[in-house]
Formats: sequence, C-alpha cells, structure tokens
Amino acid sequence: MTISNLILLLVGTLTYTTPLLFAALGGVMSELSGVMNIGLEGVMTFGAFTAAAFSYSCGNPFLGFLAAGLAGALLVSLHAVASITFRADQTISGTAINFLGAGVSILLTKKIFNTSTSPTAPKLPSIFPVWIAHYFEGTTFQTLKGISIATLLVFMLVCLLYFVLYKTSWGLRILATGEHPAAVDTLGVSVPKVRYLCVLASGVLAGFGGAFMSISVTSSFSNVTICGQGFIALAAMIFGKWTPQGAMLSCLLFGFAKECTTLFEKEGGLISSSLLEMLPYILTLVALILFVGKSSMPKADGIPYVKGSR
Amino acid sequence: MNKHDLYKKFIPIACALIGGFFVGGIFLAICGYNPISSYAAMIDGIFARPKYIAQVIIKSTPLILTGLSVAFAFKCGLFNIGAEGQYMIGVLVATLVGAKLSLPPVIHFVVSLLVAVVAAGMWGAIAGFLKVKFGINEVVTSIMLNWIAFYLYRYIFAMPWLHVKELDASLAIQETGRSTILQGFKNTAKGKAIIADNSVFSDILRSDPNWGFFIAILMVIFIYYLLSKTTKGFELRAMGINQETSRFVGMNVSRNMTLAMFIAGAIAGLAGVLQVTGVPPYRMNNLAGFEGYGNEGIYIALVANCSPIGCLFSGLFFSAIKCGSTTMQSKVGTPSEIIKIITGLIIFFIAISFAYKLVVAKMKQKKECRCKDDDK
Repeated sequence: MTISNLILLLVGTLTYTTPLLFAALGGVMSELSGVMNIGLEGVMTFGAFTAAAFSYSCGNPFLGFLAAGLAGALLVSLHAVASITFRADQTISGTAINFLGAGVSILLTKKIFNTSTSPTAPKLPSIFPVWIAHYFEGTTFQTLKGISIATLLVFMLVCLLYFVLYKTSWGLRILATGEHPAAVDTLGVSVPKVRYLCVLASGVLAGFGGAFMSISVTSSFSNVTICGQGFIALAAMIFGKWTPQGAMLSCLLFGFAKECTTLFEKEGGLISSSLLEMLPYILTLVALILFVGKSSMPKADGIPYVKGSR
Repeated sequence: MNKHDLYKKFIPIACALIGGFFVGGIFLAICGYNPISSYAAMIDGIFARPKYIAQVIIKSTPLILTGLSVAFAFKCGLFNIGAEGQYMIGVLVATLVGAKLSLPPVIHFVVSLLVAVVAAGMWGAIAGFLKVKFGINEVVTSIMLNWIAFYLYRYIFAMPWLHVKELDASLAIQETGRSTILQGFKNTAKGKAIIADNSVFSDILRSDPNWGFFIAILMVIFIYYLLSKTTKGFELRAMGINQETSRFVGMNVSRNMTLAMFIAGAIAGLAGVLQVTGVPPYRMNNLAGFEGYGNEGIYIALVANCSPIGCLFSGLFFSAIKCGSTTMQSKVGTPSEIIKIITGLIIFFIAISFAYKLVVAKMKQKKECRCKDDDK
C-alpha cells in the first residue's frame, strides 16, 4: 500500500462520504423531532439542480451552495406542512417530495438550459487554498487538494449537531419532541414549532448534500447526478441509531467501502467488478447484523402529534 | 363495506387526481407550455387507436404487480422498499430458466415463472428474516438488498454463457418460455390473412400482447382473497394493525412477518418475470441503474389506498399517463417530466386529503366556540 494509494483512498472516501453525511444529518434532525423524512432523495436532487444553476449563472459556487440549502428548505416545507399541520401520513408526503423534487429539477433544466444536462458550473474550492496546494504540486501529497471545503463543513456540522443535541436545552427539547411530544407540550414548548424548525433544517442539509454532488463531485446537473444517495443516507441514519456521530461513522464506513471497491477495480481484474461493487452493501448488512441489532427509533417518529392526546 | 364507505374513500383520491392535474397545468403554463394542448395530446396518446389502448394495458402489468407488492406489505405493517431488487431477481432467474433450459411449451413458462417467483420471494424473505431475528429495520436491509440484487444481475449478465456481445443483451428466452399471445400464429400465412382483414385485431397483435395482464389480474384477486377471506390473511392484517397485540393473542408474528415479506417479494418478482417473458426482446438488458418499477410501486400502492383491487386501477391509470406523456412530448413538445411532477402533486394531495377532514372539523369546532361566545 503506497502512500499515494492511501491518500487516494482518503480523498475518495471523503468524497463519497460528504454528500451522504449531509443528507444523513438532515434525516437525523428531522426524525429526532418525530417527523419521518423519506423524501431526502428528492430534496438532494432539487438542491443539486439549484446549486448547478446558480453556480453557472452567477459564476460563484458558494452562492450556488447556499441557494441549494434554501431550495431544499423550500421543497421540504411542503412535507412539513403536510406532516405537521395536516397530520398526513409521512411516508406518503415524503414520497411526494421525491417525485416533485426530481420532476421539477429535470423539467427546469430542460426549460432553462434547453438540454437535459446543465452546463458546466464552477466547482466548490478545495479545503486547501491555492497557494498551499501549489506548494505540494508534484509530490505524493498533491491529491489531497481533492478534498473539498464542504467536507470540512460537514464534519464541523457533526460536531455542532452533537453539541446542540446533547449538551444544550434546545437539543433536549428536540429529542423530547421525538420521544414524547405530549410531555414537551405540557412544558409550554410548541411541538409544531420545534418540528417545523427541524424539518426545515433537514431540507437545508439535504440540499447541501445534493449541491455537493453537482458542484464538487461533478460540475453539472443531470438526471443521474443523484442516484440513490438519498436512500443510502436513510440507511446510514438508521444504521447510526439516529445520532449525528453514528451517521458520520456509517457514512464513513460506506464511503470507505465504496472507495476500496473503486481502487481494487483499478488495480487488478481478479475479482469481477460487479462482485466488488456489492461489497459496501454486504458489508453494511453484516455490520448491521453484528453490531447494531434492534433499531432505536425515536418513539414518536412518524406519528402526527395531536394536541391533547396522550 | 357499503356504497357510502366506498364513496368516502373514492372522493379524496378523485379530488387529489383532479388537483394534481390542475396544479400541474398551472405549472406548465408558468413554464410556457400550453396545458390544454398538452393534456389533449396525452389523452390522444392513450385512447386514439386500439394499439395505444393495448400498449397501456401491456405496460400496466409490472406497475400493477409492484404496486400490489408494496400495498400487500403495507397491509402487513411492513414497508417493502425492496421491490426494485425483488423485481430484478425475478427477471434474472426467469431469463436463466427460460434461456438455458429446454422444456415443452407452456410447461417451460410455468416452471420458469414458479422458480423465479420463489427466488424473488426468498430475496424478500431475507429482509423479513433479518427483522425478525435481529430486529433490523426492513427499510435498511431492503435498500442494501436492492443494490446487491442489482450488482448480482450485472455479474451474471456479464457471464460469457449468457451474454450476447453483438446485442449487449443476454440470450433470449426461448419461445416455449415466453408468455406472448399468438406470436407464432401471426407470422403464418393464415394469420397474416386474418390480420389483413381486421384492423383492430392487427393493431393489437402488432403491439406484442402477452398473458401478463391476465396473470396480474389473477394475482390481484388471489391477494384480495388471501387478505380478506382467509385466516392467514386475518393474521397478517392484524400484524399490520398492531404487532404487539397479535403477539399477545398468540399469533406467530415472527413467522408471519417473514411470510409477508416472502409474498411481497414474490409478487414483485412476478412483475419481473412477466416483463422479461412477455415484452420483446425477451432478454436481460444491460442496466445502468434500476428500472424504476419497484419505486413506482410505492406510489401506485398509496394512490390505491393499499387495496389490492385498487392497485389494478391505479396501475392502469399510471400506465395510461406514462404512455400519454410520450405522445405529449413528441406531439406538443412538453417534457414528459411533467408526469413526475403531476404524480408528486397527486400523492401530496392524497397525503393531505385524508387529514383534510380533521382540519375541516377543527375549523367547525372553532366556529362553534366563537358563536357560543358571541351569544354570551
């Protein structure tokens, strides 16, 4: 294992992990407050489209990234209204978001750009400013410049969310809203308000995840930019037992397995590439069986709260 | 269930359908496409010729079945997000048995159907087993199994004893293994003569009809009967309503859960079998991603309110708008993605509609309170 291979492994792992982790953190936020959100895939798609469109039009990837967050919040607000105010079945409205997000993104791409792939947009910069990257040019460490600045952001978010959820009273309220909303209600905290905030936050985060795919991993948006990442993020959230640190570890595991597969494929043709591609998923299943066991879902997850009920 | 209840369930869905098309029309107008001509072209693409109607029916088969699979799982309290993978296993095994074995006609088809359906059922049962034995949420396991099935499909697809290089497809399922209707007949001299005389008949035969739709109807009836008229169906539905109570009463919830996932997987696998044995070129294609029928099954089941018979109509409906949308795109230029948006809107309105009554009741209550205060 040469150093350059190890660095490739690191960079690749982080690249796979980042979008998954953004979305998984979004899922965690939403579900911890008691609202199931299976529409992450649609929100990521809409975020990816918005990021590419804004980044291209304004020439500024940061604007694209922020716009994607707002777009995500906008789309997910439909789910929030349906689930919280109208007490709809959260599986159904989540599915609706998936279709709306995908449909609107592709339709708008065709309408605005007249092609089914958006034009090349400026990408998010790397974690290392240009002058440092230049210093490493030509050495084995030069691939490190492939780590995007958004990756730094997502890991900071993990720390932030961990702190907020488990060390502040706000976080306690959020956790309680997902476990026993009636108790929170008796304290005078508005359950809908907490849930709305958390669902909107999940939209922003999932939007960021989608943005990463279209202005960091690739530099355009098309209908194959987001392909199942939203659902993998859901799986990562469940695997991580609905905690930010658990989501981080499961996304890292997944990204690592995916990157190993890619590297093995390049190196030798001994094992068929299709079998190798199965590896991350089989690994996750085995890990689930060995380590996770019974899922510890927030107790009131997916159940609409009716004021006055037990 | 009397007529009144049936209407009660129908109306929210009907309103959601109308609402979805209405708001979709507004969206089209905003984007500069003419909604009236778009919808007219869509309807044209569904009903204008017998060929189109035949296409709608043929293409509805996989949708009805994946919808049925998800609906059945929901009724048992499980979320079968693994229909996509189970579908692929169905296609894979049916192709293997259909292309590699040689059996007399009809028997060949029945054998490949049974083997593939059982294989897909086992695939679904894995998720059920993991939930029962280890308590792992079936959504996670199903998502993983979907991808494992996908790569397994690709792995076997690339095998030299199955892959046909020039076509980038697998070996074709032999004629004895297919589910087509009158396929051999229409190419004979006698067949051609009859076709030349009758344009409706020829239209239908030229769209390669197959037995799939009728088998799907049989499956719908079977599941309906299973759920509402048998003891096992009662147990499964009870498990769906309240798992703990079922266990308390003495029902074997562990076994039922695995059984439910097996049946759901089998139905989704059947969709795959009927597709590959009924639709030309009767081969496995080089798939770059999921076909999508499994995910579409989710919304078909939801629009059908998870009723087996509802899935039949839901599948036909969504097949119709899918077929219509391609005509719409070629005739008027409206992108077919609007269908995704309309579908999303319909599902959204359905989600709200069942809760609409609650909101209306709440508003009535508020009004009453205010009136009471005024009287004071």
